[in-house]
Amino acid sequence: MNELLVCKDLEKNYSFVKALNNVNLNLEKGKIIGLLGPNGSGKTTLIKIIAGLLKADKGEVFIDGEKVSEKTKSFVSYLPERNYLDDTMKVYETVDLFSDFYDDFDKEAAFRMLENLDIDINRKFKNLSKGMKEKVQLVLVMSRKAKLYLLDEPIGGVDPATRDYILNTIVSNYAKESTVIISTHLIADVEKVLDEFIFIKNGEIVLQTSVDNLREQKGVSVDEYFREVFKC
Amino acid sequence: MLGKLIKYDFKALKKTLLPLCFGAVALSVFVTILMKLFYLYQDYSQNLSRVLDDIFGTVLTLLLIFGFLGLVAAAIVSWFLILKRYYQNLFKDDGYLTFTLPVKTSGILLSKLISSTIWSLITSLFAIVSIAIFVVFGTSRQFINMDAIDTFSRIWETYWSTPLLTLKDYIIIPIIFTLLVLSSVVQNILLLFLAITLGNQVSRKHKILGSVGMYFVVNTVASIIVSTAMILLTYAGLEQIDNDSIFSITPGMDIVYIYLSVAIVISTALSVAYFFVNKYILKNHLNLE
Repeated sequence: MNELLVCKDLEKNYSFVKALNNVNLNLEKGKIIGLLGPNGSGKTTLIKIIAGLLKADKGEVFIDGEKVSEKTKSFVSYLPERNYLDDTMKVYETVDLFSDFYDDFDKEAAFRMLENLDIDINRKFKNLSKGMKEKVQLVLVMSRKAKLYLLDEPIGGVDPATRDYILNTIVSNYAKESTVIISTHLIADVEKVLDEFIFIKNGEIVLQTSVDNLREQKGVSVDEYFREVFKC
Repeated sequence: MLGKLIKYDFKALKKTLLPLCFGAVALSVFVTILMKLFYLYQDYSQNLSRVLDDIFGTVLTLLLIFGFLGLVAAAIVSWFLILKRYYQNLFKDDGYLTFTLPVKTSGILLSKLISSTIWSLITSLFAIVSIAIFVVFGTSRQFINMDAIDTFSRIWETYWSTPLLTLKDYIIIPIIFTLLVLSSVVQNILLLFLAITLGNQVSRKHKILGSVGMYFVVNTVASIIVSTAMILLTYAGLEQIDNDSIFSITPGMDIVYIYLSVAIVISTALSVAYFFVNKYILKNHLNLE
């Protein structure tokens, strides 16, 4: 069985809005997958359900054969689209925290990456710039040897140079057996690192295919095809 | 994993609460020193000027009031800080990390409970020390207020020599007292935690208001259940035994112990209920925005 993530008939409603509807997914191991859709299409909702922060109203999620639980959390590495670290902690303390809780965390790799980024590990998290904060969180998340990485808008708030650095970090750090899901609406930037992509629209999966397939069949890039499918 | 959770919760609370504790002691020392200065002034001025006496007296009274209010404020702020940690770590952005750690929901809740209980006991200890410093050193012309110490030692001696108490009582009293304090602190913390969790469920916009409302709702429901249970138990108890038996076979302090034990059991039962309702909601209805 090469399936890492299986979503069956997922449905999620927020009071009057259908956030996810009839979502079925089968994702294999060893892929970098783009979860692409406009704002409010359900990307974050889907990722939060997989991470265990939201309960689906209907349907099931299996990660490496397990239902979402504290067990799956031990091999899912999740980067939210906000700062989730206690900002009174110093950077090295957040590294210790990850190392304390995640058995798959490589502390040395984390310190090496932070050093490469010129981040002073004795500074408090709240005193870092926005871009620095995002980098620290990415370093922590990517220093885990997880089976599944869930990256929610990892390049949302940073400049193009930092975007390249972040994408390089993701590509060079994920274990080859692992799968990475990157949610974003900045498609042109991530396209070059993707193996597959999923289009999500109004809470429904409209397409799941490989980047090569798209190029062969339609002769367009993911970015061009996205503009076509999601034309306003 | 529970040990690690407690370590981080304890540390986070220490960061905000320890300065507050030392602040309370410093405030008490400050007021004590001012009192000493006032006594010195009185001794040397020998009623030199009524006006000056009045001014000093008024200033001192105001300082004493502010000192007292400062201590009360510190106590309130310490509770606020304990609850803030719970709220932020579970329901604000930090919750995204807390709830993606590979730990059970019960572990998260238990860690919050244990660290908060320990810290509320530590802050209470500091409050007692602060008051003791003022009472012992700040309330007399001498360096130490011997009257206050005498009073305490007399109470202590009376406690140890009262003919009403036997050796058995001296063993039971500290145990019952400790359990009573612990169970009521735990019950209060869990009630407040549950109120915050429910507050986050009932209203997305007015979470704090929702939490305050839920505190009163849960408290009222619990009181109704407890008093109903008590009435039923008393009624059943009276049916069971002869009117005079319970009072005649349980002499001395025993009736007090029975009463306090029932209070501890009720408090523990409420705590267990609060804990599991809270855990259920966090596990099944956690909806972080």
